[in-house]
Amino acid sequence: MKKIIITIVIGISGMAAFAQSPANTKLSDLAVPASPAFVITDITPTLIQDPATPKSLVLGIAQSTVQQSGLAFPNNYSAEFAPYWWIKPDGRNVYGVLGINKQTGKEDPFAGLKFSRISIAFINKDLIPDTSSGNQKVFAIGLRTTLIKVHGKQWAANITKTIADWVTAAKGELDFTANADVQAAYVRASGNPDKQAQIIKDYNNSMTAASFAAINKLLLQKPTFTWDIAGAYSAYGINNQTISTGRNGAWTTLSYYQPLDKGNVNYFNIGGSVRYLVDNFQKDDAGVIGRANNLDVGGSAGFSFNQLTIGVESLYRYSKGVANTANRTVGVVNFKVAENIYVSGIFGKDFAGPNKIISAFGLNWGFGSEKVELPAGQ
Amino acid sequence: MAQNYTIGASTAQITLELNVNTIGLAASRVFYLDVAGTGAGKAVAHSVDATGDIATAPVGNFSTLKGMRLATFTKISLIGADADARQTEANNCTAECTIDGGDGGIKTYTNPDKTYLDPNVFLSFSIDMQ
Repeated sequence: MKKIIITIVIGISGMAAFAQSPANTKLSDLAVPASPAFVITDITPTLIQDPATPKSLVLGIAQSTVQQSGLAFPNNYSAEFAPYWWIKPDGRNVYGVLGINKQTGKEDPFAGLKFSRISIAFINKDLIPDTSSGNQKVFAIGLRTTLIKVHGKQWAANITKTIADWVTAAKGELDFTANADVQAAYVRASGNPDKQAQIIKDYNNSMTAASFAAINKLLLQKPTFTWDIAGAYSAYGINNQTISTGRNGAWTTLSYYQPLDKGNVNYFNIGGSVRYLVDNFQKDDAGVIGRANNLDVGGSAGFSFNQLTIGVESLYRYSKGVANTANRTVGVVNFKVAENIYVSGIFGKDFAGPNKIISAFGLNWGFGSEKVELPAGQ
Repeated sequence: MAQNYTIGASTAQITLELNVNTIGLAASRVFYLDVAGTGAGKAVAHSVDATGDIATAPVGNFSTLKGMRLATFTKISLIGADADARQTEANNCTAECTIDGGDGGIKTYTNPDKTYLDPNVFLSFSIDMQ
């Protein structure tokens, strides 16, 4: 009963806080965005396609294309994909995806480059802050990659050893008499997938279980250092004849994680970020719409514990154009109350606009298992 | 689906090469058996690392293989906590098996039997040696 009352009180206070400050503040403004094309256009698509082939990308765009005001344009289509998976190169293996050199056992710090992701969006949205409420046909494209990713000294050695343990266990497992019988039955049932699916249920995976769990645990460890970059471009179709460049941006983030315990569960992290944004339709405090070049330079620091993350980020914005030089400093707190239930708070001062003071507090719950990250996380 | 390879009158060593394409942990075993019998068969080659690949290896000759079913069996364990990503990778796992040394010459097989039982994928080539 006590827990229920606490939850209700937190929920009500959260709603009250949001009512006082409707500012739509994100918890990760400093970090390189996962999907730059969506961030540059301020959209959070509920359905993001992940086309497995170029053909499915083209087909998806074609299927969402409709005639609008005499112009064919995809209606709210968004996709994100890594071209690496389109190529499906021969020789793909676990060492390559983990960035481990099979011969030397050393980590390749540039292994993340091949998994660079492209995001694209076709949306109908009013992104010009004028008095007209008409939507523009907006196209945005972005790229995100991890230039450098380095784990701690022991990580590569540990994961190489654990994989070797798995290989040894897997050989024993395949040769295990009961499993050899399963394989023989499976091979005799070749061409009958239903029967094979029944047979394989008897395969005994227990010999590799420990090393498999150990590898998955090592994968959860954060890298010691990462350098991420991203860029995005958007164009607005003002009408059927006029297409204007809208917002463009480039981000880069350096992050350092210091484990606070032997299990690598709790971390202290610091990060530095530079973000360059050009908005050809930015509105300043006086209501003037024009081009603004914004260079944001800042940093973040925070602690990430098992159930609590707390951090602060500060950005200094150098502006040229209609906007003014300003700074933004916010603190962020997330507390995991229970599985998939988080209490989140953000407070501080934003760059500009009628609500410069940020104060938001709320309760987030859901069915996913993703943890809310600190600014500049990942 | 079982496929065929012709040893014919060749007395040379039959060789097998297996290439597994996956980002999961993979281990492979090659064996032959009498498809009409009940035994577990005889193992003739194994992978040596987590790629699941087997470099070109002798697996027998006409006297041991003719009339038998030569089979590869690969277990792939998909790493990571994301079930959707594992499902995608399960669909993307592929393998190629190349056999040489018989009258059939070099022949490459690309369509293994596949079963996905999260987090594992099992791939198998079944090749009847004639």
